[in-house]
Amino acid sequence: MAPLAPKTGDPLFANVERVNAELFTLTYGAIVRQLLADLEEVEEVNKQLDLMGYNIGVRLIDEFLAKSNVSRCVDFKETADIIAKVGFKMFLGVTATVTNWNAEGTTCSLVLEDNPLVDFVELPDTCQGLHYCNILSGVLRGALEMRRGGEALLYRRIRGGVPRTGGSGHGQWRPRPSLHPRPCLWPTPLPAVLAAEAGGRRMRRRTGVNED
Amino acid sequence: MIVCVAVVGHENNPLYLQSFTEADDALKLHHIVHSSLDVIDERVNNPKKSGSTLNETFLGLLYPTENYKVYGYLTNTKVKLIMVMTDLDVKDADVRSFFRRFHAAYVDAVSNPFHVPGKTTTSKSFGQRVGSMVKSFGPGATA
Repeated sequence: MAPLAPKTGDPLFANVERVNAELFTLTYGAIVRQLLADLEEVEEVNKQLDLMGYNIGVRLIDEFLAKSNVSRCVDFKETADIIAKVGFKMFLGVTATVTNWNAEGTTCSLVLEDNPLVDFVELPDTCQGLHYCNILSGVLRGALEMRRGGEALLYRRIRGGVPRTGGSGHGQWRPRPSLHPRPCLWPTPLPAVLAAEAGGRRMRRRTGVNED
Repeated sequence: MIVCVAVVGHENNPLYLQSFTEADDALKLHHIVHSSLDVIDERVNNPKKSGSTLNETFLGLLYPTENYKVYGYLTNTKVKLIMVMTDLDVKDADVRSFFRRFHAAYVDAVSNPFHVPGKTTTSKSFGQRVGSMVKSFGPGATA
């Protein structure tokens, strides 16, 4: 009999190889700083971080599915739950909480209370528009796009200028007009909006549609 | 009562300087900090035989001036932490624990990827942490 799908990521986290958290944080900080020095434009850096995250995500999803043995999620709520409890725990060592569902069940917030990427980080005044954790949104976009076959637009808004930087994100997910018959995470395509936050802050609800 | 704290780099360049009283002349405090650097250099270059070899980081009372006492603390990277305080009966252990926490806060501030080593620390949270540490410093305050 196949092993049961995990409800939390703790046993998985105990079995994967780990790396020193400070080394990880400092390495990511060095990447962001180098991107800022090379590209000089905050928007460009955001795009580059998202692209890097996307490339990570398309590879990470296979590892995640192989190691975690989750079954198909029936709806978006379950997907968000699995990402928050199992996915984040397995790769970052922290769990996110899923909150702030909208009425239709298409928007939620993933709140990371304790984001290891932003330890010690304070955004200087020159980089206020920087989405420091944008790599995470790219990872989610890449991972979900491989399974959903839809178009994903995820973006993050980072709070700066406060002692603790946070990450917050909004995403818009729209299925492509013609879906190929490939295995999906859930049977019916749902337009989903994925929002992720870090730092325990809540995002304001966006009004209006995110333009392409 | 602590009136001033300072962090000075290994080439005696100032990295952080903050005074906590309005009454006294900030310039005078800076001058005191500056002259205490000479004392540190002297102590570092001529280690006393009877000096504490166990804890070489804490330099102790550097020198007492008119109404101030100056304490010094040296890290392994030759970064100097200096504290100026008014004359009060303070225990050595309190000062040591203050420097330990100050050192920890400084290390966290330096770990910020946007901090340029060698330049002054512009982090607001570091300033806040130091401010709260200074406020809570007193007889009986332990780490």
